[in-house]
Amino acid sequence: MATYTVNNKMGGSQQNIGTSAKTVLTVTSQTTGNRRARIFEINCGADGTPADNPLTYDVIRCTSIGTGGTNIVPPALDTADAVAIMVATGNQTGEPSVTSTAVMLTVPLNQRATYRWVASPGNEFVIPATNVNGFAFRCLSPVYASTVIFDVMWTE
Amino acid sequence: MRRAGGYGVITSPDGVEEHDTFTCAHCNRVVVVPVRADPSDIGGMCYQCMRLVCPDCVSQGGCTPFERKLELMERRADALRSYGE
Repeated sequence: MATYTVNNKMGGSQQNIGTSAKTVLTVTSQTTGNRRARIFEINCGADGTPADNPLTYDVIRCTSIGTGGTNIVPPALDTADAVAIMVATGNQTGEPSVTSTAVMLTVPLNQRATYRWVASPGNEFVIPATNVNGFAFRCLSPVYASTVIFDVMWTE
Repeated sequence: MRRAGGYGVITSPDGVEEHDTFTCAHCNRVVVVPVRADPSDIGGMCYQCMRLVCPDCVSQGGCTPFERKLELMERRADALRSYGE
């Protein structure tokens, strides 16, 4: 199984977050040659001017990639591995279709803090082998209105 | 916790805060396990699939492992694709 990584600094222009959930990155299964992927590490944090503001990051299942995003080719951790089957799209301007009851991880965080989550084997987020099905990585804040970064790693 | 399903760490100017997590066997959601948490507050154990589940899945009852849900999702998608959609 190959391992890949992507973050929303790798393509497109970062979009400012606001008071409603703003998707900064999606990782979804592609339309053909579907197979499952397992997300085992997520890192997130704000990259704007430091201040003490509350942010809420979340990871939610999605069934589309949104609009206005930039397709990012995820590099493999081992350069000998093939190109990823999963599709990474970053810095969307239009929100993807999400499954509102499927919020997989919610992290309330101070703007000055960063969060890292790592899954042990067998406890990863699983992307089904279903067309354009995957996860959206979002953030919102009642005060902070600049950019954030999500960094995601998975195996497929 | 013994055999944690995951690990989370918050890094801030005030220091580092770590916690264990586990992934719900029924819905694949991550549950944060605070130190010395009351087990009833963080979900439960499904005695059919013998894995930890989140509080929402405890209240729902029943046992549909997430692997089964994946199969159902993928089967539906395969059927739709075979119809030409």
